[in-house]
Amino acid sequence: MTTAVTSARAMGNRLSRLSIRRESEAYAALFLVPTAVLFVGLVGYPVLYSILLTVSARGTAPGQLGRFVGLQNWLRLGTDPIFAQAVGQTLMYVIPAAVFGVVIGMGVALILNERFPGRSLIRASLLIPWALPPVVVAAMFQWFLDSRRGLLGHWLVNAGLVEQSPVFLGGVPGTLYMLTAIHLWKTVPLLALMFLVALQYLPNETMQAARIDGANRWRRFRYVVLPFLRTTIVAAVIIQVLITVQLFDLIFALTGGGPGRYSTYNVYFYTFKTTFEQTDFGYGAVLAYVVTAFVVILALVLTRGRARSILS
Amino acid sequence: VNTSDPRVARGAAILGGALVSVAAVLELVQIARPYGFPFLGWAIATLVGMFLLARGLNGLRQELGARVVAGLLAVGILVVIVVPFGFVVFLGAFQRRVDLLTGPHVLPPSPTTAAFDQLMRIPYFDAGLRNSLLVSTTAAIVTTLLGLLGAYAIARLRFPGRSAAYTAVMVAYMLPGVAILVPLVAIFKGLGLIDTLPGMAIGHIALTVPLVTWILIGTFETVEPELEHAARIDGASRIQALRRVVLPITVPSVVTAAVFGFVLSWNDLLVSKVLYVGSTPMLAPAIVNLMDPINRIEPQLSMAGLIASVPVLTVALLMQRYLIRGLGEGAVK
Repeated sequence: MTTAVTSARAMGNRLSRLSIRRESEAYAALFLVPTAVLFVGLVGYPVLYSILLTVSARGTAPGQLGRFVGLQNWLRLGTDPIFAQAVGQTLMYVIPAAVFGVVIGMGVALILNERFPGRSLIRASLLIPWALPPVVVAAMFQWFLDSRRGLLGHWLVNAGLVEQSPVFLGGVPGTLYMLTAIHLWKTVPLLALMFLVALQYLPNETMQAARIDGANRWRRFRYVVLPFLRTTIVAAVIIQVLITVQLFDLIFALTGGGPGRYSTYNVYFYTFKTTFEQTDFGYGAVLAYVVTAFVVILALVLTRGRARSILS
Repeated sequence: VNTSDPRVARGAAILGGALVSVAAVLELVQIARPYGFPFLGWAIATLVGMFLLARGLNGLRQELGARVVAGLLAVGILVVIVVPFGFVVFLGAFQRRVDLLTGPHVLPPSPTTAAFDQLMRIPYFDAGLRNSLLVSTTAAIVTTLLGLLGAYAIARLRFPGRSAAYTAVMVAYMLPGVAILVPLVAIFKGLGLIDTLPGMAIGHIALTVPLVTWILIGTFETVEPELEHAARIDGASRIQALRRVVLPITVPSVVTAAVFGFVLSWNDLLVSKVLYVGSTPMLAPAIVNLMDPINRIEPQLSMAGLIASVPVLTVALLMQRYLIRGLGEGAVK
């Protein structure tokens, strides 16, 4: 077996030195054509076209550029109070979502990493929030949290925690934080799965050694598990930030940006509103560039390591 | 508590277990039918009980207490995940509209499937369901085929511009939807694709191709190149090697990638909404329509949610092992 593999490798190397390279390029071209067409249409053309949009006045319809206005749309960013508010609120979504998401996600993973009966059932249930359509999650919590018809308020009253059912969705900035909580319900299982997979690679010998040395549970977590999970924590924070910056469906379905004036807008939602409801394609494209720049830079930071390992 | 003595340990464990269970039963009864048991009493009894249980069991056998406590906490996790879906979407879907007036019910007082019949009589919902089934299935299949070829080329073949292609896939995968929708709508208008079924399918393929290609690149990276070299030496062409050698051993990952594509497409709101003007509704925007703050009827919404959840929950259940691994390794969106 070993010799067969070795000789195959040797012959493979010889083949690759002779003709495989040219042949490989031909196949690459063939295989990549459909994807490339889609990518040019989906990424290349739209990105370039958007640059034109950012220097054009409010158009009349998608596909029709307004007159040239130079950098006016870009300069609007600095004086637009709604944009400033949306940036602030984006942070109000992102920071708690990242902090609580990663802490709770890691906690859930540590619990589910212990051995107990029914563990695989509970691990599988983590897929439910991930798989559910966001609009279904929105509809579900709309009823669950309703102050008159919802079960949660009813239960809290019965448990003696509150006098009367609170209005969960309706306050400023309470509604924004409720949306963040719902978003956490949907995303924490995903982060927990990331930590669970990482924990499988925790070297058992190190844990055993720490145990023999008399390290208690907290010390084993603090000095063995936590340092081991450091890269996963960084990845989880970045992924959660990426997902939360693009939070849209919940806002759209549950609050439409309200209550009050723009109180649950984030930059992504503001971009959508500007582009598709006020049909201000020029300024909308500027806002989209802001979101895109942030997301792509963060994504490049996240995947730089992986890209390097694959391309080498 | 000194738990080195087995008798003390057993006593602590039994006492702790009893505290936790009695408090849980009392609190559940309280939540169903309040009779004045204080919430704080439940909280304190549970914490103290868990502590005693853990210490006691740890004294009896190493790590046993930690496992039991982890199991109890896991039940809490399960409750948080399952309760909103089970009570609101699943049980709520079978409630009568008039029962809404008598306050929230945990169980539907007189279960009925009326909401289903009402929903199916709403034209945009019925059409949305059909369109979504058709579009998402098509998108998943076509995307996987395209993704297979593209990912194989990027992962396996040497050609100029390979690293640029790799970066393009990654950037496309990360690109926020709003950034490209205006030009996309412009192109679709020009081609007469807007608000048509083929147009919706192409839009959804465009939405899912980057993710699926990205996942499949990772898959093909893990296949031993030697296997293919051996096949090539035996006279197989590239395509034969891909079909006969690489695909059979990557079937689970390829199906997983297709499932990721299906779920992304099925759950999408933005593309479906923007490409819709009046004649090709999709399921997600249809559900948002039902959420109208004044005219909404909760059991109907829950039934709609239940219908929309069935396909994604089914594939999630069937593919759970692979999805857990895929998600854990960072395939998101």
